[in-house]
Amino acid sequence: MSKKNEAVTSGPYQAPVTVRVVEGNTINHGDKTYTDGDVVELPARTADHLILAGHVEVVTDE
Amino acid sequence: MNEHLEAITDLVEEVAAKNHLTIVHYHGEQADVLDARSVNLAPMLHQADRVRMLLGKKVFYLPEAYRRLGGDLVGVFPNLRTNAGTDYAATQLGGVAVASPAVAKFIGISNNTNVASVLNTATNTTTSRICWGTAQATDGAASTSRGEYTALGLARAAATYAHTTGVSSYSQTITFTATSAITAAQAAGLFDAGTQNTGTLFVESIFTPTTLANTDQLSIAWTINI
Repeated sequence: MSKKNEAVTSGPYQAPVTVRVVEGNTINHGDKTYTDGDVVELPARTADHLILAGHVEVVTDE
Repeated sequence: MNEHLEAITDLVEEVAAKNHLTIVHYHGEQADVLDARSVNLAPMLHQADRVRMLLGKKVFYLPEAYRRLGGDLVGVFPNLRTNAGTDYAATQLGGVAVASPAVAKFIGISNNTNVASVLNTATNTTTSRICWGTAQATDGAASTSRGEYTALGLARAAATYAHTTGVSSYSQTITFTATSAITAAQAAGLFDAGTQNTGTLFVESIFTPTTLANTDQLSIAWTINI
């Protein structure tokens, strides 16, 4: 079910947003596959859903 | 909260066991701000709403989350797997590898007013079903003869696939940005080809008619259970 999401962001973020794939998840975007810990840039609105579902976490600027 | 949910995990999974679309309408440019706590708790919102659904209560947390992201949750809608989609799934799972078609990751949009049909296909132009075989390059009033948008920012496009290890579902997520007014978009199809009137229509769904202004965004998260 839901995955623990350790992401921290100072927000705000507009498109595109850089996210990190949460452990145990796989993301296919732009014909490329990203898995645990991989960092990928996604359209913000697309990322919204994936963040809410716990598939990815926002990469902080810190 | 997770500990408390463990006792009813099977019930929660049952509620979530149907394929569905989450449709969100974003009104132009938004001040989309998420603080750290929002991001950390985001997956829990789905859980909390599922529990509310089990109790027969209206969902609250997910719509509120999307509101804070600058969008309106249009709704969560079931989809229908077409007969062609059933055959497609069989081929993908058990057919000869070299004969397997492309993956179903392309989402198309229409303002056709028909309901979903198991008989529908990617090339249908019969007006008793959603006309995915009809190219619709301009906007117009919703009707039973309207086709799939091929322009105005809503042309069929590849979604982003996401899957969690061991979970019996995956999602295809995409966001369309309207480049013109769109009248009452209300149907979505998931195809295995990126061009209108081609490929296999795997599943289709209708949702609450959603009218977009120029630069508005329509975000779709399609959950497929396997």
